[in-house]
Amino acid sequence: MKIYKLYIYLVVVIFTFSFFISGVKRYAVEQLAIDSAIGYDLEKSVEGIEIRSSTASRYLVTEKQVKSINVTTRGETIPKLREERQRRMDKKILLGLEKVYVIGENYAKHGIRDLLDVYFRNPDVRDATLLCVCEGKAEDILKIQVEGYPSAGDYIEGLLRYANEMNFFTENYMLIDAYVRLEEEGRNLVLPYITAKDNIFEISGMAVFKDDKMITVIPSPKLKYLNLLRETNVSGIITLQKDSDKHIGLFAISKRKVKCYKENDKYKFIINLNLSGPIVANDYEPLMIDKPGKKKEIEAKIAKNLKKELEGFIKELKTEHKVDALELGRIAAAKYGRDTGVDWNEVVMNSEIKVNVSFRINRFGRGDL
Amino acid sequence: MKTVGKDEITYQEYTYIIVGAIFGVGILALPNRLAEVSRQDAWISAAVGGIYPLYIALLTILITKKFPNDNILSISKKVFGNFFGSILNLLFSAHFFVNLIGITTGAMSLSILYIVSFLSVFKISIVVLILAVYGSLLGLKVIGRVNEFMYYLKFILLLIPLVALKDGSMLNVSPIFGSGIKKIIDGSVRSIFAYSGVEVMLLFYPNVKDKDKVFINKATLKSVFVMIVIYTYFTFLTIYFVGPTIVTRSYFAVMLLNEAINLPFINSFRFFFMFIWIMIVFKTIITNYYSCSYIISNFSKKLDIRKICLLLFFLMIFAINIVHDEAARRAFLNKTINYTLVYNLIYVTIITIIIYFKKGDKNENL
Repeated sequence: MKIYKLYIYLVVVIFTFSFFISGVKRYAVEQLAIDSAIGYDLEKSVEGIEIRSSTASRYLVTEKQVKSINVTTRGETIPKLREERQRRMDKKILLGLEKVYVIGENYAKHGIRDLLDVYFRNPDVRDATLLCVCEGKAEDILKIQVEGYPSAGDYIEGLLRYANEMNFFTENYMLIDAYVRLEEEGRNLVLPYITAKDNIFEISGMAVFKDDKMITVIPSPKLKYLNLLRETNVSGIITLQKDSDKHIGLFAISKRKVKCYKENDKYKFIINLNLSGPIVANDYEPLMIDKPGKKKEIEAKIAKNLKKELEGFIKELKTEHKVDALELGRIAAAKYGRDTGVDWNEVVMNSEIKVNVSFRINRFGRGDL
Repeated sequence: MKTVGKDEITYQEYTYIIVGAIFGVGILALPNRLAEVSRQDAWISAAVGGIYPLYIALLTILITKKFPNDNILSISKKVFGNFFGSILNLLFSAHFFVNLIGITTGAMSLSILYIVSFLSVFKISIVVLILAVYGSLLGLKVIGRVNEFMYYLKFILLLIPLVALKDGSMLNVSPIFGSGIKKIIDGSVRSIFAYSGVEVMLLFYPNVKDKDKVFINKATLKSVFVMIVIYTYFTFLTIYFVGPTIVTRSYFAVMLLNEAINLPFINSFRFFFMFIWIMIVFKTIITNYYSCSYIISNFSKKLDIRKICLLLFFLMIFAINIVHDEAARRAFLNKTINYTLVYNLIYVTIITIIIYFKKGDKNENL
């Protein structure tokens, strides 16, 4: 009797197991293709049809080392090129482990909404994946092999991740930031702009978006001012130079506070920047630690110089680019109400923007040589 | 070891059962339903929507004063007579049934989306419902204990999103009250679906131990306030983290909060969140399944709750396989839940009024 019961249990267990396992596709890890980066490009063919192309930089694990190979496929839409890609791949693509998505210049200019929609829909994609725009074609960028790195994607990831150490960059260049900046009122997306020179990558500017289209790139020396005016709690180097021998360099942490007023239907913005930080190098005024008067003078001088440069940058933004890259519209919307149908890009760029800079040297280091 | 007395619960377990019946699927989609109307003030809407469970709690307190040993079903039979009372009770169960379908399909569509996309709807529905049947067959005491355990597990779920505080900004939720009182109230009406399930408090108060009966008022109010706080908390945090527009774009906005957490070696925090959440949802399904079959079994003396549990299984499998995808689920809920909810409100209110205006016959058959 007991042995029958055992048989029945066994049959039930096997039946249940096979019922749940049937029709389920399972892949071993060797059968999956894992990408380090995916690049997106857009070209217009002679007939005027937009051809999108994607370059998947895929890891190739051999016995001795890890390499990567690139697979580029073309299609009119992203789903079409994905279908195309599988025809050239020997494995199943596992989405969600990419380190960075590189958007080609043309794609960014045309608009990235369809690309972000693909990622927003997919439950496997990690929203912390980094995003950047590159000069020229992403295909060419991902082809570059940096020595010691399995793929270009790994290098670019590090480039973006540790950019926040200097130049007043933030960490907010991830997918989730892009979704939020694209959709929320009074916000605009900016992404690092990457160029390759002699097989070395660098962040050479900031790509500024209006809605989902890239409209301009702010080049290297000026991107600092954009970041300073836009972000809070960021760090970078500020220098004051008389000539090449006499200079003072400071590592400053910036805190931004924006005030917004409305006077006679005109908005008025005041950006207060509070910078403070230690001295990195000082040939300007030796033994400043004992000269409180000189210290104040230098602080005021730095603040004044910076203010002048920032004001110049705002002027350029107003006249040339005409986009609210400083996200001041967000602050006005939070104070005076959302969903009023105001085009913040236009309103902010036609209103008065004042900058106040205060600077404080708070540490002197361990000595003065 | 003490044996589990079949259907006698303490007042704490009563509290946990109420919280457990409410907290479940509604939470993940709550912010985007509210933010469609009341925008950045959605969290105020979530708090204002708490008027509905508070009203039910108030009625429960009033009813328990007159009839501490009869639940809403037997009172209704006394008030309207056996025949009409039974039929009205069956209509009363419609809300529980619709709510049960809403919760089960919601749990399934989320688990298909985030965890087990490789399984078919039919297979998942079998697993979910077998758990529900098994839990329900064990009786109210066990359900109370399961709810008690999940009540504390829930606090892990509440702590995870706190990380989002560092990335969010007050700019996303201001101007506070900026969307207008009318829209806030409009939005709060939408939050009532999330609070449905609170009606179980009308069913199970006679099962509370006699010496704990004095604490029923405390238990109902406590559970309702806990739920209001949790809903307001989640809605506020989500909007604080990403802002009101993107909340409406995401189907399950609360899941966005997990993106604030970036730990090395953990690809995505979603799975951890879903792992805890799905356990909590199973408990919600069990509680609602039990209460649904409890009402139906009350229809006639011949019906046994265990038989109803098994019968409901086939009915639910059938219903779930019709309305399993998210679009069909939303359409189904929009069409039904408002009517059943209004019916329940009127029904319970009328019963309360009647028993209070018929004086002097507290212990008689009305």
